[in-house]
Amino acid sequence: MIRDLVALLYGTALALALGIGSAMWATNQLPALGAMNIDGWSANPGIGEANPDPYSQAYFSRSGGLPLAAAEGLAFVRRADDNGDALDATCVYAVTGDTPSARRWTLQVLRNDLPFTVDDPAVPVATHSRGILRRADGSIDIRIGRLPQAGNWLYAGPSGPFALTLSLYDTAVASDTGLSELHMPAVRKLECARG
Amino acid sequence: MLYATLVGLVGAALIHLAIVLMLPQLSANDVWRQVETNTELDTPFRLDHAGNGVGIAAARSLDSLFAVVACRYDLSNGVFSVTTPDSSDFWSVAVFDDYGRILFSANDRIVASGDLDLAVALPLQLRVLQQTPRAEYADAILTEADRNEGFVVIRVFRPDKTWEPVVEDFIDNVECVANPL
Repeated sequence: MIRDLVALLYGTALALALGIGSAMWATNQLPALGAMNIDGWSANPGIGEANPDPYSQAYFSRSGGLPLAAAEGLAFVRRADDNGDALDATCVYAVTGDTPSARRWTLQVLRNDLPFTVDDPAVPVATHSRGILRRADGSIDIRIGRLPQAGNWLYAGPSGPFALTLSLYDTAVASDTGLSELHMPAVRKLECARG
Repeated sequence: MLYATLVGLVGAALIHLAIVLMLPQLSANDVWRQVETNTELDTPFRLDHAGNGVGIAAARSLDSLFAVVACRYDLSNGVFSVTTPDSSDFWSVAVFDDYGRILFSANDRIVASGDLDLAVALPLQLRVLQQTPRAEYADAILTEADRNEGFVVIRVFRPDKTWEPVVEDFIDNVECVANPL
């Protein structure tokens, strides 16, 4: 009798702990399944569609975000440089290359997964496709660091980890047919301040 | 004990699925709850930082180079329509229902003139409109919604403060109306 009761309690506790725990874990981030990876940048095209998968839907229900819809655009996020090291604001990075075709794009610094804001409007923490100087061939070269850089510069904070988000507006990236290869800008670490 | 473990694992899978599938209905933190508690029906309100609008938590993750305006609708009051003035620059629109699902999205390329005329209606209201066409919906983009409540989000490009007058002029002229049939 008591053994049955213990088994019942054990089974129920196991079901509750594992069920709730795994559901919390699975809805805490966007599902890796369905993610799109281009040159180290990742995006979830499924979230902008009419019927997203239940996990993406649950993630947004929990986090309360307002995703870009499919016809609006697609936001890519990047947390590591080309060598796979996490982005750190004490270092200087160069974002170079080309973006997939889009009517417009914006590049923003994220801190703690939210767009970084500074009080001084003269300090740039975000830029866009019409707000930068380009090289002669049309490719981009944006420097990210804590001190102003020549050319295009973004401030990522005094120190600590950050992320970059490149949002493409009015783009066909998510419905790409694979006929042409897509490329996203490279993120290269140039130097790190010591101490 | 082995039997109890198996039952526990099956139960865990069921609880996991139940939580994931029920979150859209039950969550108290999702964007719809925030919009519903902070805004008036059929009134455009601004979500982005620059607009000093309603400080809902969902707005914190928005692209800071865009001004975002939203309107909450309730189709039991009639067909909902959003009209915006002509804007020469990029804008996009998305219709969400009260589960936070996206019903429709578009950008300024969908219209030839640059101004948006979007109507959201229930299937029955759409049939009425098809059977007895009305002049005010002649040029409107019609979107079908299967739930009564939801909201429409319009994003306008606003890269810096100098664009504010243009964007404000645009947003001040966004109109959200419910038209009973």
